[in-house]
Amino acid sequence: MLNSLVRIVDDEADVRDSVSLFLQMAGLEVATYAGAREFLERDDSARPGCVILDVRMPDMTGIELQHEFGARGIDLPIIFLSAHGDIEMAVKAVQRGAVDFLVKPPEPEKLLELVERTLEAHQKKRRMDRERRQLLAQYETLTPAERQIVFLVAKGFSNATIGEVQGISERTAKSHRAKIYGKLDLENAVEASEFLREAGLLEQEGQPPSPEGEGL
Amino acid sequence: MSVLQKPPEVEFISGGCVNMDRGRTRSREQMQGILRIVLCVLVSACLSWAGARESRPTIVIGLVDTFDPHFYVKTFSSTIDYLEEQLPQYRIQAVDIDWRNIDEGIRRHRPQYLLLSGSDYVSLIDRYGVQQLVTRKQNGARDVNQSVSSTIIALNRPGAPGTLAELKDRTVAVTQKGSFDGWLIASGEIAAAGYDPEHFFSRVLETNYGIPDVLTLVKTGGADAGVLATCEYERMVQAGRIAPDEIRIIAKKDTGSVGCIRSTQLYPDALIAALPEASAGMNKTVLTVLLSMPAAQYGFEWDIGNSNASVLVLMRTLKLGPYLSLRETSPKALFMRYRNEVFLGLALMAAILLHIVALNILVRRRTRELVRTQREKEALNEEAKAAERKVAELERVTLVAQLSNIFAHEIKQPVTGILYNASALRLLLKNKGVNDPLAMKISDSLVEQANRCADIVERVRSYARKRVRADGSCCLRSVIDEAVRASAKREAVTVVASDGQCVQGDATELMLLVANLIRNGLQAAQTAKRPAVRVEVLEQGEEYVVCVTDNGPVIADDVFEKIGRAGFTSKTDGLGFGLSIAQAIAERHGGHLEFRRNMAGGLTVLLHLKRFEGCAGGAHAEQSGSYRR
Repeated sequence: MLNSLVRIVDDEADVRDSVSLFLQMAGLEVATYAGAREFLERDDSARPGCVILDVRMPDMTGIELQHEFGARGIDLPIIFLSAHGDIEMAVKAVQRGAVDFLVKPPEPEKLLELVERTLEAHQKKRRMDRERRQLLAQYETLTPAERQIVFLVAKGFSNATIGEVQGISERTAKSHRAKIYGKLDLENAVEASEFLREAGLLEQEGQPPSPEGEGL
Repeated sequence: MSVLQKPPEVEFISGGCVNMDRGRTRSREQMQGILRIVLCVLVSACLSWAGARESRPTIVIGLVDTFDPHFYVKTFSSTIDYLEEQLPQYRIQAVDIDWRNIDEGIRRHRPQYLLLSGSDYVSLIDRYGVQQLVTRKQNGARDVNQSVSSTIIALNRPGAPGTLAELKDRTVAVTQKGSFDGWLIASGEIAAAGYDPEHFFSRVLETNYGIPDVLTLVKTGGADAGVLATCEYERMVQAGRIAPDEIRIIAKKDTGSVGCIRSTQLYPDALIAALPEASAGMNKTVLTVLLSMPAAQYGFEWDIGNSNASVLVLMRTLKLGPYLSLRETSPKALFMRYRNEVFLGLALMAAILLHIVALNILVRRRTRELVRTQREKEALNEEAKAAERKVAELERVTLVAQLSNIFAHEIKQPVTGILYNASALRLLLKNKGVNDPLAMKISDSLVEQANRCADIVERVRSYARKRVRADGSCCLRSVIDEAVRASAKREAVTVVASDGQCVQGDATELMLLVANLIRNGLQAAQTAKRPAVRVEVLEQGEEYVVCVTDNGPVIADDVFEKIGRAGFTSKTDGLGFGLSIAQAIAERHGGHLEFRRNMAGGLTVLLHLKRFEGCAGGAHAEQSGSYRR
């Protein structure tokens, strides 16, 4: 697990250095960039953390960089820092996913708290992403038939019902269930349901648990 | 007689022989015939004598002929004959002068002496300086000054006029209006009775000594009354032309000094007067001869008359001769005499009046127009000035906002730095386990003061910050029109825009922006021969582009580089914030400015703004209302 890295992007050296110094004193690891382009060229977005981003910068504005994140699939959370409190701009920035929009100078403690919260959330997000990816990798080992049946299993259907629904014999259904349990390291239908939810598959498949589920 | 009188060129001398046999009837014609024979003989005698004695001086005697033929033969011809007889050393020439045109006769014949009536004499005294020599006195007349009168006659029968008053508006027959005793004396009597002789009779018939004569006209009813000269009545009775009780005499007076019947008072008879041409010696000679003319032989004599007062009174009454001017004082007479002049004068006056009136009207209208134009001009100037003031004020506000923005942005960076450095210091102390209260206090103070600093900056900025109505919408055309109205030389600005081109934003700020671009353009173009700025709205996809093009000089590379940066100016008197303000406004409206150099010189500034479809045409923000008149 990688340590969090706080990135500061601001063309003002005073701000960049002082905020950096403060956060370092608070025990955080910080990287500074004098502009959006430098950030895009040099930063390793694989490291979790967050970006403290100035809005008004000469070559590329903070808002434009936020758009660029979307285009490049960078998931780093953004805390905007602006000299001008433009409410409309703030609202739009937050709507596009920014954590917050702070007017310079934000209270150091408040900033620190926000940064720490954001780092923690991002770490969690990264971790969850990683776990989901592992679950999905397990899920990928299933055959197309097993992929269909695992949802039915998660709904608590019996082998006989599954067989009927899929047009197969109860015995075949039972065999599929055993294989699925083995591949996904499951022991019962409840765990199957949990697995699918954690892998983010339930929502994706659009198959919410049936209200008239029998197995539960 | 008429032959002798009418053509003035036919002189008495050469006049008559041709028509000798033309005499027809009675005494008048006979007299004429006799006269002609006499004259012919006389003239031939004169001519033959003249051939022999060419060197004789000539005495020219003019007859101002207002007399009857009887007088002509008996008095004038006799006198001429007598003079010739008595003065063989002179050639005596008799000339006839038309009484209607005495001046012409005198000018033409240049007579030394005139035989004329008393009335004509008094008329000529002043004009020619004539001098009375002798006055005719009829045999039997007792007083030379009272020897002629008129007799007014009418038919003696019922219904015919019997008194002077009854003659009013009747017709009257006279020999000649110029005749002294044949008309003028009678006129004087009518005037004395209180009437205007000119309008007393309905008609005055002149016989001019022709046929029918006065008596015939009265007797045949051709005239209601007639005027006869002195003693004419008696001559007619004697000749048997008037039967007893056939004729009545109107306003009959007693016979007086003459012994003839009369209707009027008595006046002096005809007289001979000398003109200044006559020499003193000649006057004496002529006077002596005339006075010696025997009365018994001729039936009259030439006497010394000494009073023309009665004639003068008569002439004044009749407003004749020297008193002709009196006649002219009556408005009608004046009018009749000068009517052409009066009409001309009136026409002139009318023309002048018309001219004056027309001139006044014109002047008044011109003045009114001028005043109105002046007022309109002033109002327009006032409006332009007001708009300029408003723009300048807005610009100041925007400039302050912009400057405070810039200031706030810049100052906030170091403030942030101080705050975070102080906070870092506190953490450092804490990390190192330094628990010095003073150090903590210092760092706390630093944090607090930096925060206060930031607060102050923010507050100052918020004072100057204008509320921007980004939610409003406005029509570009009215925005541009307002901007043009606010510029100094609006006539140099051309606008190409259509209705319904709308954008979202604040009309006043956008107006300010465009006004700024126009002003920049005009200033850049002021060195051009004909400074011109063109504002055009183009539609490019999702946006409108307002292009402001000037025809200023070609822009150098280094200058073009700097255009649009805050603080940059190519003008000597500018702060250089115009374009940076414009840029700030454009950005606030989600647009931006673009600069292009024109090949031929000058700059085009392109203002890109997002299209807005939701606006009702022309309904643009209430803020622009303050710019409307």
